[in-house]
Amino acid sequence: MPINAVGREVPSEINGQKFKPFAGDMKTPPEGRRAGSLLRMVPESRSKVVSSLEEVIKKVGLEDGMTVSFHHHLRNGDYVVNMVMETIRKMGIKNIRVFPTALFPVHQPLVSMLTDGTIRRIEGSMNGALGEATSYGEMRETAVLRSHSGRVRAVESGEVHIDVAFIAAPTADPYGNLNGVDGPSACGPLAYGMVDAYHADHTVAITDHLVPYPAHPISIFQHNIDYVVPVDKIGDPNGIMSGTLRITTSPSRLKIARYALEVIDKVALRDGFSFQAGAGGISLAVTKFLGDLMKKRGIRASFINGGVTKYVVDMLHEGLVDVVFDGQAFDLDAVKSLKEDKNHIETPLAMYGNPYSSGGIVNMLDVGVLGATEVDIDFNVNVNTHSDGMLLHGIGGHQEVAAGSALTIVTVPLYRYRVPVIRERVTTVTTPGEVIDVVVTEHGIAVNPKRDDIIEALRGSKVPIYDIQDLQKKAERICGKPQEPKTTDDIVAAILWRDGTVIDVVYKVKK
Amino acid sequence: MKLRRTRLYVPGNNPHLVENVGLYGADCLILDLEDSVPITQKFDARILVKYALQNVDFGNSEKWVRINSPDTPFWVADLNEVVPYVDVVNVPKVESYEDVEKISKIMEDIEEKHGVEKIKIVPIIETLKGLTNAREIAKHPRVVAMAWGGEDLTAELGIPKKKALILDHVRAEIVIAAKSQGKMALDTVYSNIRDEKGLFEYARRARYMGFDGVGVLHPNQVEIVHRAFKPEDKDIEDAKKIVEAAEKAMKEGKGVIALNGRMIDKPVLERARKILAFAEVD
Repeated sequence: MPINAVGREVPSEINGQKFKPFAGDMKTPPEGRRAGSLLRMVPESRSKVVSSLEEVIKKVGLEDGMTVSFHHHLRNGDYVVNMVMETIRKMGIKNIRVFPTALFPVHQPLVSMLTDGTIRRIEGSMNGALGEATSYGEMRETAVLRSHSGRVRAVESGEVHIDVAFIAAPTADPYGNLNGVDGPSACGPLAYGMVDAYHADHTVAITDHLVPYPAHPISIFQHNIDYVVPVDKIGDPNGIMSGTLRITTSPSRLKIARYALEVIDKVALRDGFSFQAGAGGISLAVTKFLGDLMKKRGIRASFINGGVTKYVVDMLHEGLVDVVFDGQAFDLDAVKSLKEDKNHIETPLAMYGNPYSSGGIVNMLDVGVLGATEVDIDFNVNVNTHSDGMLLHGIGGHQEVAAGSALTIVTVPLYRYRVPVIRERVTTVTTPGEVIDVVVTEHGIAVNPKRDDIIEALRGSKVPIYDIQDLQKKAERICGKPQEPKTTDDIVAAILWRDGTVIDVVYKVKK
Repeated sequence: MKLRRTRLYVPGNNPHLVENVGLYGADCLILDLEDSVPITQKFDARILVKYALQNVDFGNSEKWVRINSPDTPFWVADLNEVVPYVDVVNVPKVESYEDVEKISKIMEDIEEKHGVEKIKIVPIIETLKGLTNAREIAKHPRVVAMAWGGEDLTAELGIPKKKALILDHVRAEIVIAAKSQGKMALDTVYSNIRDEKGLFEYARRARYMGFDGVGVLHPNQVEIVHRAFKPEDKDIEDAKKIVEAAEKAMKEGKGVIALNGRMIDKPVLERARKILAFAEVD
C-alpha cells in the first residue's frame, strides 16, 4: 500500500473503487465534470403526495445494491432514517449503500441491518453504536468517512451516485417545496440535504407538517423533489434541538477558552474579521468571550459561519456581526432568527468548503476554532477515533474549516480521563498538521513552527507558549505513556481528505 | 512583595481537583484537610495531600495546607505529613498566642528532622476568644497574615451570619491586629460562586477595608478578585512616578525624595510600592 503525505499506509482501492493517497491540501487537482441526476418528467398532477413509504419505494424503483441518502439536521431526534431503512428491510431489498451526512446513537437499529444483509456499507459519519459495530468489523464492506464538503465533492464529482435521496422535511407542501424553520420538528436550515436533492436520481421528501401550496420560505425547491410522503412524526424535538446550550463551567475548559481568546485577540481581531462558531462547551465559551471583547473594543465582524447557537444570534442582534451563515442550527433561538432575520442566511453545503468548486465560505474565514480527540507532535489532528481505536465520531466540517481559516486553533485538554490528548502520534489522522496553526490546552499553547507571524504576534502575551513536544511530554509525565490500540490488520473504514484522497484508515478493534 | 489576593481552597480528598491546581493563577493554594474532608477520610486525604505537595505543579502559587484545628485529634498527624513540603500552614480556630506557639514547637521538630526552613503560619480567627486575642496572636514571628471565619463566631452569638452586623467590626479588628504588626489581613470567602458581580463588589469592599486578599472557593473566582484588587490607573501612574523619584534620589545619594516640589515620606513610598505590586508592575 502507498504511504501518503502524513506518513500513513493507505489502500489505493476501497470497495472496488480507485482512490489516490493524500498528497497535501490542494495538491491533487480535480478532473472531469460535475455529475448529474436523471432527467425526469412528473405526471400532470398537482400533487406529489404518496401515502406510504412502501409505495414510494416501489415508485422510485429501489433495488438491491442501490444507494440511499439522508441528511442529519434532525440529529439524535431523527425518526426518518430508521423508518425508511426498516421499510426497506421489510420489503426484502438487500445490499444497500447508506449514504447519510451523519448517523447518531438513535440510529442503533441499523446495526442489525449490517448483519442481516440489508446494508452492505455506510459512507458517512457514525456517532455511537454504528461506529462501534464498524470498529468490531460488523460491516460487510469498508466504511468511508468524508467531511461535510468532501461529501458534497463526492456527489458533484460522481464519486458517489445517489439513487434515492430521502429528505426529512419539517415543512413541505404537496408539490415538494421544503423548509426547516416551521412545523413541530423544525430544525433550521436544510443545508445538508440540498446537494442530495440536486444530484440524486430520485428524491423523496418525508414530512410531518404538510402545508398548502406554496410552502414558504423555501429551502429546497419543488423542481428537485419527486414525491412527498406525510408521516405522523419525523423526529423528537428534544433530540433535534439541544435546548439552551450552556457554556462550560469547568475551570480548566474555561482556561482553554480564555487562552484561545487571547490568541485571537493578538493575531486576528480587527474590524471586519470573520470566524467559525461551534456548539461544543469550549467553542461556546470562546464565542461568548469574543462577543464580550468585541463589544468592549467596539469591533464588528463581517460574518460568522455556524454551527449557529443563541450566542451567535445574540451577536447578530446586538450588531456585533453583519451576517450569519447558517449550515446547522443548534437551538430554537437559531431557528427563529433564521426565519425572521434577513442577515441570517441559510447556506447550501456546496457553498461551505468544497475544494473542487469556485470557492467556499471557509476560504473567507479569518479564525476557525475546532476541537479534537487527539493531536500529535506534527500537529496532525484526530477527531474520528478514540485512543483505543474505536471509530466513534464523524469529521463534520473540521477539514475544510482548518484548511480555509487564516488562523486555525485547535482547543483540547492536555489529557482526558488520564489519557494524553497531546501525543507522539495520533491514532487516526483526520486533519493534517499543515493546516493547523495553534493548539490550545489548559496548560498553555503550541504554535506550528511554520507560523512565525503568529509567534511574533504573541510576543509579550501572558499565554504560556510551549513547543508541542513539551506539551506532549507534560501529558505523559502526568498520565504515563499511552498504550497502542489493540487492533488487527483488517481495514474497517477509510478517512478521506476533503479532496477525496485517502488520509488514513481505521483498523478493526479486537473484542 | 508576595501577593495573597486569592487563596483557593481545594478539597484534600479529591485527586481530580488537586491535579490541576497550578493552572488557575491563584496567589495561594490551600489543600484543605479540615472542613471539606469527612472525618472518615482524614487519613487518606492527608496522604493524598502529602504526595500532591511533592508532585503536582503549583505554578507560581504559594503552597498552603489547612490542617485540622488544635482542638481535634488530627492536627499533629497533619503537621507530620505536610510540614516538610508546604509554604504556609493555615490553622483554624486559633484562640491565643499559646495555640500558635504550641503548633510552632511541633513544626520546629519536623523542620529540624527534615532539614527545612521555618514554615509560615496563617491563623484563622473564628471565635470571640480568638478575636479578643487577635492582636497578641498577630505578634507571633511565624504568623505572616491573619484570616478569619464567621460561622462559629455568629453561632456563639446566636445570630444568623448573613444578618450579623458585628462582622464589620470583626473585619476591622482583624485588619487592625494584622496591620499593627506589619502582617497581612485576609478576608473570608464569598460563597456564591455563580454571582460574579457580587464577588467583585465584595472583594472591592475588602480591599478598601484594608484587607490584602479574600478566600475563593472556585477557580473561576480568581480572576474576578484579582481585578477587584487591581488599583485604579491613575493611582498606578502616580505610584510609578513616586517610585521612580525614590530610585533616582537613591542613585544620586540624596536623603530626601521630592516629586513636583513635594516631599515624599516613607509611608507614601511604601503605599506606592504596594500599589505597583497589586498592579503587578515590576
